[in-house]
Amino acid sequence: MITFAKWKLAIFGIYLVIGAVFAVVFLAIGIARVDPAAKGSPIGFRLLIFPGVVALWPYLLSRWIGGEHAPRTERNSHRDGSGGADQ
Amino acid sequence: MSLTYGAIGWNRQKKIYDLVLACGIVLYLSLFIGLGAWLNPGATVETLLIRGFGTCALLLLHIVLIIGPLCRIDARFLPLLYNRRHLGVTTFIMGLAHAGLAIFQFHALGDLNPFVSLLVSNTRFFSLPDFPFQQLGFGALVILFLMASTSHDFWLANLSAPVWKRLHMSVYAAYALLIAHVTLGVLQAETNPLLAAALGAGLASVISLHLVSGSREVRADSHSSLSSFDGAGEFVDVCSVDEIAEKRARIVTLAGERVAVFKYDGKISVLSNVCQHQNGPLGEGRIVDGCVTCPWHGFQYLPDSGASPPPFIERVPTFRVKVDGGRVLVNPRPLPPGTRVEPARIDANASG
Amino acid sequence: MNEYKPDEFYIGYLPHTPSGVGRRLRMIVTGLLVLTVLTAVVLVLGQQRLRTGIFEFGDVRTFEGLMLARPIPVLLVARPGITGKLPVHSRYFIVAPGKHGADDLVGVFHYRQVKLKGTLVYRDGITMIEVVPDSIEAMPSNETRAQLPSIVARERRLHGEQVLTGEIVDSKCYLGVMSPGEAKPHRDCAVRCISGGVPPMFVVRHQNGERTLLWLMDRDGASVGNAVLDLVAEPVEITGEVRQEGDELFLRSDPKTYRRAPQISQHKER
Ligand code: HEM
Ligand code: FES
Repeated sequence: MITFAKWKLAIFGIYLVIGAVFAVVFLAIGIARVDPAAKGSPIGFRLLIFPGVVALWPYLLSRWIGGEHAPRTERNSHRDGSGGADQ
Repeated sequence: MSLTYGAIGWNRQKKIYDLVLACGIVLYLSLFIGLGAWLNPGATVETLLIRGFGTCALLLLHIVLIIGPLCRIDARFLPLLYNRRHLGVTTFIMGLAHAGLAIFQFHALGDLNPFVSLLVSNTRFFSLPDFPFQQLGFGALVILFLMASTSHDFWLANLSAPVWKRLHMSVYAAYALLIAHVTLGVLQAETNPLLAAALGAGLASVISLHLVSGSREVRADSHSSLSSFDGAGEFVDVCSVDEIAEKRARIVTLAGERVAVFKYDGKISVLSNVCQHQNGPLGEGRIVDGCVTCPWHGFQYLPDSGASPPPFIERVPTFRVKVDGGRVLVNPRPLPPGTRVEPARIDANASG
Repeated sequence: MNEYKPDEFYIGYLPHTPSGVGRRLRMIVTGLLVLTVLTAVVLVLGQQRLRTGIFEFGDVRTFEGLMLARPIPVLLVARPGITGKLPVHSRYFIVAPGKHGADDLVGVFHYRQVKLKGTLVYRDGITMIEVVPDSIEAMPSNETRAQLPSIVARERRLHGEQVLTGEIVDSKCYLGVMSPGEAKPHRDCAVRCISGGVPPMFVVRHQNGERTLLWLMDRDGASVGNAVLDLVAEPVEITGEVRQEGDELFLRSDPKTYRRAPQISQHKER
């Protein structure tokens, strides 16, 4: 029980450490590639999203690797039915 | 919405909002801790702080949760919605203070890492009265963290709206976990019915307000669902021109979703009712400076094209519309978001 | 009075709120503040008045006496000018800082006269010292040591086999380091403390609100320690032999025979 809990925590900790390292790099250079609107954004903004980047780094990494693309919009029957829904 | 992101987009209203919020929290904590220390001299400072922060977070969460349905019931609550994300982040911070102190108080300075201790100290998963309630609180804290840390508009854009909204719907899971955290935790020892009643009242208000606002929506939709096609079988008669107030809209359901029929400057334009930002009801907004303005956070769309004025990029589907004999006729086939449609002129077709 | 014009429209990023909306908003905010005050008051009034154990946090004193490291670390300090029926010693139970017992700290001083520094914790007639590690020093022996066996024998009372229902707590928190230091919310902490070597204790609550505190020992008189972790902070029934040494009560029983008792509303009677 205790060993199992220690393993879980160790894995969780490693995930967060990788996330923290990733976040520093991502906020310095990756972010502008993933979201053009973040180009030249202030340091305060980058600090504010830091915790989220640490937590969700695999997602942002995949977006970074996948290159720049416009965010998905939500679907609803009007957008679907219009045929011309964005992406 | 904006061109580049800023840290926190404070404006006058948000500053007032945050100031009131801060005062409310100081008021609550000083009352809880001050009164608590006076009436209950046996309690240690740590206990008072842990309880103060925990209950403060739970109170804030209740307010966060009832704002939505209250706004659906009465538009005058909308100012509370405008800056709700600061309320949410504050809820998380209070919860974090509570959890941090609790983990230190109950798990630190022992023979195990405090976080390991949190996971293994109580394993009575099959007993309700003895259930490991602290782990429920931990689950709630993780959810509140994910919501708070993704509250910036950057995340709405980059997680994409559907994912972001699903993530933020998990606030209800956090709420359920916290109700269990308190019921299976402190209420197992604190047996005064006043406390259970307070929690029950909170739960009841959250549930009943959601039921009331939800059933109103359903009723409104069923009244506004249309099926009667006009002679050509292409346009639907949705309402009469006179039923719509100037610079306002009427909401009807067409093609499986609500549309907003706006009247302004002698013209009629029809947009999908669903704001691209967070699904706010555009038809409950109004025309301001020539733009349809969402009642929730003020995103704007040009009524004839459903596109936000440059430099903004949001767009919603539009609908072809004509006015005939004082009646508004709408083609139920949605056009691609941002498609310009010639507004129907009212005067040319005025019935009388 | 409340002139809300349906045409008013709130836009958060504009500097001013329309007057009707603003007026209603002030009412709503006032309402929320009243709710805030009410909630705070109701929650404070609804909580139990906590009984006061005392932890003289920050107040370090010096003690001298005979150290008995086993079965439960305790310092016997001679009562000055004792006559009559009172035991000739005060017993100060010894624990370490944090969630730790003192066995490792005091082991080498077993049955020796010592001087030590520590902070007092006391409640319901039981006193404990949170010892400052490394502050224990051996002192020249005095006559207490020689007399002890006969004194202990004289002060021992046997109360026979009994069936008791109560709650297992960790003695340190219960006696005053935490308040509350018992019941469900405190369960994890008690587990941590007992696991760290703080001796477990049995609290029996009586109808009249009084409590009896007993140290939990196995049949051989050793502290039960970790064997009780799974039963902490729950109603438990223990059948065992009750012994008294001086003012202290000890409940001797095989921890394997402890049974969960049905949930009784025992926490109410305070
Ligand atoms: C790791 C996360 C958490 C832990 C370890 C934790 C632990 C605890 C503990 C030990 C208590 C009982 C304290 C006492 O009264 O003696 C408690 C009560 C409570 N918790 Fe949590 N909690 C956590 C997260 C949360 C969160 C996120 C919230 C709310 C947003 C919350 C709200 C409450 C409330 C309202 C109470 C009842 C009042 C009180 O007794 O303090 N908890 N929690
Ligand atoms: S939902 Fe946020 S502005 Fe429309």
